Amino acid sequence: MELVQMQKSLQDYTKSLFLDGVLDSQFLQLQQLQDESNPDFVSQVVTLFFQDSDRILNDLSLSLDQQVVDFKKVDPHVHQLKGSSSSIGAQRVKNACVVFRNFCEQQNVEGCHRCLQQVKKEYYLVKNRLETLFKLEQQIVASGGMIPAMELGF
Amino acid sequence: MVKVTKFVSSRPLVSLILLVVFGTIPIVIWCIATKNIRNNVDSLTEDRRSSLVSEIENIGRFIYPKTNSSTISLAGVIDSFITNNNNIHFTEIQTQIAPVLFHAYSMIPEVSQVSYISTDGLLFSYITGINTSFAVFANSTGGDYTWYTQTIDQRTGLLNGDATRSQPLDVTNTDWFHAAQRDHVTAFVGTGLGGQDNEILFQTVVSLDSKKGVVSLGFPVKSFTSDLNRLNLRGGELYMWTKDGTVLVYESSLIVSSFIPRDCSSGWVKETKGSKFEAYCSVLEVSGVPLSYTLMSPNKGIGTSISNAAMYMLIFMAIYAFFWPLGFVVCMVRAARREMDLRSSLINQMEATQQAERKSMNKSQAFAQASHDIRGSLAGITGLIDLCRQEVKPGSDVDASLQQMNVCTKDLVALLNSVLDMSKIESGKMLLEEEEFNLAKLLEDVVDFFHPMAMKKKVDVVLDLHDGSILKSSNVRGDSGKLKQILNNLVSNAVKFTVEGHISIRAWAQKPGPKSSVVLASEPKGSVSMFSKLMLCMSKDQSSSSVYENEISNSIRNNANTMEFVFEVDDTGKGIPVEMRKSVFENYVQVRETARGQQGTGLGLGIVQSLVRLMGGEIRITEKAMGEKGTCFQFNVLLLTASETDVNAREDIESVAGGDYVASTPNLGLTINTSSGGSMNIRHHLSPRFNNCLSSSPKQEASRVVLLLKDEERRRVTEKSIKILGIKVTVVEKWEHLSNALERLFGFSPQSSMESSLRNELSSTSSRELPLIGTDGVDSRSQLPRRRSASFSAFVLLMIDANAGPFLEMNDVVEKFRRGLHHGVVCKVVWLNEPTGRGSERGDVCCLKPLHGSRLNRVLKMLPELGGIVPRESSLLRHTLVATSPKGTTSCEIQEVEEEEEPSLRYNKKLGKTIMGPKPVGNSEEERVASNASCDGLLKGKRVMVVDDNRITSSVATRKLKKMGVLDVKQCDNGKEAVRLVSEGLTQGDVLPFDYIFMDCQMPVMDGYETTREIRKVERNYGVHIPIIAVSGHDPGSKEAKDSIKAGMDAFLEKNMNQDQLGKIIREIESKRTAHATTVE
Repeated sequence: MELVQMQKSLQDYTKSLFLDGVLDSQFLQLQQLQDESNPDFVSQVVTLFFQDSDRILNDLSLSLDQQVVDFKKVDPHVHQLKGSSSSIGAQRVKNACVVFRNFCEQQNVEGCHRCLQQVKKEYYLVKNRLETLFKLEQQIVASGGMIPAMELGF
Repeated sequence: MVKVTKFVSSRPLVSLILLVVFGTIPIVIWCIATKNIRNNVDSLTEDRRSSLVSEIENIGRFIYPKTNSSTISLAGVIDSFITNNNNIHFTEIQTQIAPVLFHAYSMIPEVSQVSYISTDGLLFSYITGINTSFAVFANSTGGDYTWYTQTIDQRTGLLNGDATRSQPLDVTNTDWFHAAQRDHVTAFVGTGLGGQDNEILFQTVVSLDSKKGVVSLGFPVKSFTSDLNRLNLRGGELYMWTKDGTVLVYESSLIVSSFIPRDCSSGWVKETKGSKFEAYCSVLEVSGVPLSYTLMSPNKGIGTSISNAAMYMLIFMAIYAFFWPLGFVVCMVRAARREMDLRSSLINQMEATQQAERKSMNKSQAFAQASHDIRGSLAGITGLIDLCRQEVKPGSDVDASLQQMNVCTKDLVALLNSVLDMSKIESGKMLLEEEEFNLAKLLEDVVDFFHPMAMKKKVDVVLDLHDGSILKSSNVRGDSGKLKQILNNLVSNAVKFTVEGHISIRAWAQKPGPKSSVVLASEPKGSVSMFSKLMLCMSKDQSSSSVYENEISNSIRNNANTMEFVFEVDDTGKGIPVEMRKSVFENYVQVRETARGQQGTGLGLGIVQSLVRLMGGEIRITEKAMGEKGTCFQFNVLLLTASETDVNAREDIESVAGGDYVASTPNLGLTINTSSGGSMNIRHHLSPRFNNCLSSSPKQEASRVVLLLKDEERRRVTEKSIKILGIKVTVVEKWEHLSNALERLFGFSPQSSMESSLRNELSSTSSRELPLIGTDGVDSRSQLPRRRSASFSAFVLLMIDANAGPFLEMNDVVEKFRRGLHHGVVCKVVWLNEPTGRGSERGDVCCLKPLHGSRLNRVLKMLPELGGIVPRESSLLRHTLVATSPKGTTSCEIQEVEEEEEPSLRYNKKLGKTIMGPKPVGNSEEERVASNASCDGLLKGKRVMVVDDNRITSSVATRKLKKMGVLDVKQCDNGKEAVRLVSEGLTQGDVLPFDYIFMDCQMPVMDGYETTREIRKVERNYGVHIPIIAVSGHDPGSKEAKDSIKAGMDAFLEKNMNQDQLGKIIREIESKRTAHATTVE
């Protein structure tokens, strides 16, 4: 009974992630790519994402704190972050990155700082949510259940 | 600006200086000249006057020069006579003095009166009368004082004639007498002493020394005045008067006597005020009498008037000279001001325009972005709706609502797509895809799609392939989706606005000649539309895109395989007012009056126009003949016809059955005649059997098609398209005429129907006398006997529109006709628009879809000429096609049934769906399945390299590809590495190290474009070509996508690697590769 409930709550939680726009269809595609031959694909990729993003955000904070901001260094970082976030479907991070890049092009330090904060905020949000999601999944797996397949008709 | 003002402001200054400098010189010269002239004129007048005065004075001096002295001497002579006698009597006077007087009278020249008057009043005087001289005398003094006048002898002076009394004058008491007494000599002007014409004389009176009397001489004034009058006064006037005011001379040409100054003293020149005259006054003494005279000369004003005139002239000139430049300057200033205004407004306008352009560009970008985002959200909504529907009990209210929501979102997506299209076109990002498709089928699809919708409004949609030229080159390359979009838009508009009548869609193909009506949107000359101009001037980016567009259309045009296809969508709706026709193609414009109650964004025609131009054509509204309702849109596009190899392949298949097609049946028409030479013709769409029949059975009996169609246009079109195939057609306009027409044609009459075969021959013979409605121009009468004698049975095909009349009655007529037919004659009925399926009960064919194009051909194939086996009664049922629901998701697939029994048709199926079979418009589901399947197959066992610096993206892509069946995925995180791997693979003797490379565009170290170029360089040495697919976050059709193709990549894929897209791209590359391979071979 508890398992069913857990499954239900996982489904609800995932749906809420989509509804909040934290994730998009890309994440679903990732889930679809996961199968018996590669059971931990999603978590692998997401972990990679976390590692990369932590590093990138760190670098970004450092470069933006310099006296003279080298936008040629900043832009590739943001681009990378944008690419990886879009790859795992972290929609809001991606959107924030898009704005960030615009400011980079304008060489607007002030805007960049704001955007960095925004990106960080979104990133921690998605990190939090995804970690929760994985925890839920692990619980389900631990109690011997199947992770319900999410299907959105994109 | 400053320069302009300076220039303008300096201009009046310059002209002022010019005015002053060049104005004063002539004025000075002018003044001097007039002064000289005036002086000259003055001196001239002065001279003239003085000469006149001297002349007058001469006359006065010399006319009576010695009157005084002669009078005095006379007085002396007389005195000497008188001194002796103290008292003188008249007799003495008569005897002594009179001879002296007479002597003097005759001696002194010009004298006209000589007289002696004694102090006591005695008088004797000689006076010159007219022609005569006479004497006046007074011979007595005292009371009886009488004067007598008596003529005298001219020689002697003696009195002769009678003396007559005359009025005496008291001479001794006159002033002059006293004056003479007193002063000894006096002179005056006065009347004479007597005579008939007592004239005025200058009289000089001298008293005798003895004081006993006076002597006077008188000279006539008349001769003096006449002398004066003889003077030439040159327009002047002369007045002369005595001291007492008697006017002697008054000579004037002008009546200005009132101005004559009498008071001027001698020698003065006086100007009378207000008069044009100048008066000269002087005194002239004539024989001792002082005479005042005034000479009025008109010359007084000449000098001044000249100077006045000169002054006026000068003033006028000055004013003229002043005002003309002033006016000029004013004009210039005004013009300059206007120019400045214009310039400033131009600058303002330009700024405003630029701003507006910037705004509009930003707006459309934002618009595109927003639309994109909205589409994303909408996709989310549809997904969620699907999710919800899974959880909801099917059939419940919620489910229904969700379904409706789904429909609504789809509508929204469609709307959004049109908006997106618009913004794509506006930003020049719209690109044409190129794929092979069947144009005829596309047209059919469009018409089929709208037919049920239109039929609901009782409007027929007719496809008119005109001369069938479309069929000859129906396999074309181009963007079928966009062409369909254009047609859909136009036809849906036509359906929307047509209430009654019909909509016909015409299409034909023609060679794109230099004079073809195509106007390229981006062509610099000719009618460049506002839209393309706008696109041109929007920005560099856009202009480059329009150049790109130009390139496309040029390349299309220059290709030898290019055909120009002209389409017309003609409706009988309300029409578009002439003045609205131009603006109808602008975005967001709807014709208000007609659009009432209709929805729409007004974007449709704008998109249509842009799309048509993108395809190298032009759209316009053609003029309809007077009195015809509705609108006719015409547009043309340039499309590549399918490559020769395809066509040849197809022909090979056909020729298996047919062999050499030589036309031998003259009445089979154009199609067959051209069949041996033309590479493409209608044969492709008919069975080879047809061709076979045409050549093999020249004597075959002609079949006949009877059309009973409600709509006039459809009737005309169907008739024409059947006739083009060489089939005889009879058209019946009203269902009431059906039985009549059948009777005439085939000798069938309802009365004789029961007697069937026997009567049939008779009636058919009798029908010879009847006029026939054979519209094919072939005399039916001549054929009737032949038909009877023919071994091959004739075929009658009735096509009846169920809407043309009451079904049952028509059916009745048909039934009777069928029963009454000759045994050998086969009759077949096709019911159109008969939803209930009643017709099919009797083994007739029912067709709900519009009968045209391939469907018509299929129906016609039942005719023996076109390869149909004369259907047996049993097989008739199998032809029956009943479309059960009006929506008809699956069309009445005649061919599928036919396929089973007619091997001739099977090859069409083999050639693929493009030729036969109307596919439902929206069966993308099937397609996707097919594409997925083929996609999996395509990538199975391939080796692929993914180049991406982002390991997450890269690993996701890898996973995706693996899932698709890829054998080996090499991940590679920068361009240099990729190049190295490729060259390594090649040097190791690997023919193709990777089957595909997926390349990220933006990478550090070496970006995708550069990497591709490098790889292409390396490849060249080995003569291989590894397909490189660009993977990027940008839109396909964006600048980046174009760049990637330019850099040498083969295709462009969006970052999320949609499987369908991927499959499509892979297939495209594969087909290209094989095509390449075959051409190399």
